[in-house]
Amino acid sequence: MDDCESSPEPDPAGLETRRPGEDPEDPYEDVDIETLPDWWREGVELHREYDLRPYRPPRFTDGAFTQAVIVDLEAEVGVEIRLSGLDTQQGVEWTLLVDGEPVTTLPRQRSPNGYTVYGLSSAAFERLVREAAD
Amino acid sequence: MATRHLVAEESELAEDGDRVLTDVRGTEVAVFRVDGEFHALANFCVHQGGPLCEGELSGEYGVADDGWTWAYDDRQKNITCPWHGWRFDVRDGESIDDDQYRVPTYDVETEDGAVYILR
Repeated sequence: MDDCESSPEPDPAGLETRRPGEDPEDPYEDVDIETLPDWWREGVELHREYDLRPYRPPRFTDGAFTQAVIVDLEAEVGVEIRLSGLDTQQGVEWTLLVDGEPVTTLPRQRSPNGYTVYGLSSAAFERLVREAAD
Repeated sequence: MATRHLVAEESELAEDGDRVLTDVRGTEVAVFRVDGEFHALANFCVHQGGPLCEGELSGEYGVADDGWTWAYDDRQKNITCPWHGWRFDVRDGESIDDDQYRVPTYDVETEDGAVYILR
């Protein structure tokens, strides 16, 4: 399901001649998507509806999925977490907001494998949120 | 039934051509302001999944009122994917170059100075 570790990182320029939505892998070939968390299943269904490349969740550098970490942290710490980019263009950092207050900016990029990677580990992200909540 | 998700403050989209991107339950969504109205679409190019909404906004050339010359419509309504140059109209998500392709769009609501998308 998760090709983060197994696939080499292709160059976006090398994808130019691919057909729309073409992907060398189906990460859900052997997955019952009904067993996935709602947010994940909804992503898979949206991408299928529009014939996009398969949905692959955004993640941190250690491979932990951003949304899963956020859901757990919001429940545990009792805060609202938002990742947002104002007038953002490619390569510009996004802002981490906790309860609407900006905490820091986060580097991020879209991998040619079809998912976003935030440039810090999930542990570092958790520390930032907990410090902001204190 | 769609759920409302906060994406921005209206003040962050104060002028035409402004945009805000955010992560909504694991899916990146951008809200653009065009002609004073808000339009939301997925930050995922139909072609190969590039960060479409992080590309350049532009207007477009069309036939002028005289029906003879070209005129540039400078409304910032077209977004170009930074990966391979695919272009889409942010108002409806449709490809500028081939109408068989369309990016997911979302309804937008505002209330008390906040901008929400429905998903």
